[in-house]
Amino acid sequence: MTRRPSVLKSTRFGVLRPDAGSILTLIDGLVGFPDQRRFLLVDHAGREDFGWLQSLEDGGLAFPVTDPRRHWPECRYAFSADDLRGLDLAPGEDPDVLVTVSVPAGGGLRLNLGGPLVFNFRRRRGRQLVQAPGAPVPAALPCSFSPVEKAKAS
Amino acid sequence: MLLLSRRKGESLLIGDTVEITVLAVEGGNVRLGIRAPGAVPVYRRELYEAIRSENRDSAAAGVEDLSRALARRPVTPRSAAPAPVRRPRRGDRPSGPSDGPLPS
Repeated sequence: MTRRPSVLKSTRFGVLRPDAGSILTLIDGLVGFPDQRRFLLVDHAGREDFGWLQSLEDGGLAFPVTDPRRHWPECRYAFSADDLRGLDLAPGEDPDVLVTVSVPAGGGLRLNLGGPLVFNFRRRRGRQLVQAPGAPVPAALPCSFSPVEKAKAS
Repeated sequence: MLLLSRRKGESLLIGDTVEITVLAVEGGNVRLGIRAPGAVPVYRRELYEAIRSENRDSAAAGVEDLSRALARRPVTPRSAAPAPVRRPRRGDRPSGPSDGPLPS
């Protein structure tokens, strides 16, 4: 069977032609965006530490993301087996972790540490978690939703 | 909204698969036990709403917004992280529903 070519007109990155092997599936969608399940990971130009999760259902919807451990190597999450359900990780295999990033009008960046995205990139499957209060992230890393990263733009 | 009264030890069933039991009532706190299939996520509402709000804020960002915010921040070297972002590679095969065509 021949699959028709996939073309997405994205508002941020122009025309994207993802092949099936590059598509990531978020099993439950993103929190607040339950119908958005298929994404493409797009690099942010000139930055290997930031990227974008571009929705394949909506060309105008994309989320900046980063791996929090790149910025805080001590960052640790303790995921339960239930958290990782459906990712098809091998026994003992850790998930890859990304968090969404927002850009407040007042400057800086805010990382959504409380809602980590866990992935098995090998299987291209992921899920966004809602961490319980007191989830084991380092004390130096606020897991609240206040600004935790203040890279001043000016 | 359906209104029901339950005593300690009594339960509610939502459909055939979700059971909520009142375990304790102390002062203004009610302790609940929830039995649900793994495919049914259960969230504290305030946490769910906070994550949703963060996601919505994130979706409002444009490429230029992120570039501006990152302008004076050096790239975090990969060696600084014990488990850096591992991007999917072309040779990796997808599984499940991820390898279907885009919806028209």
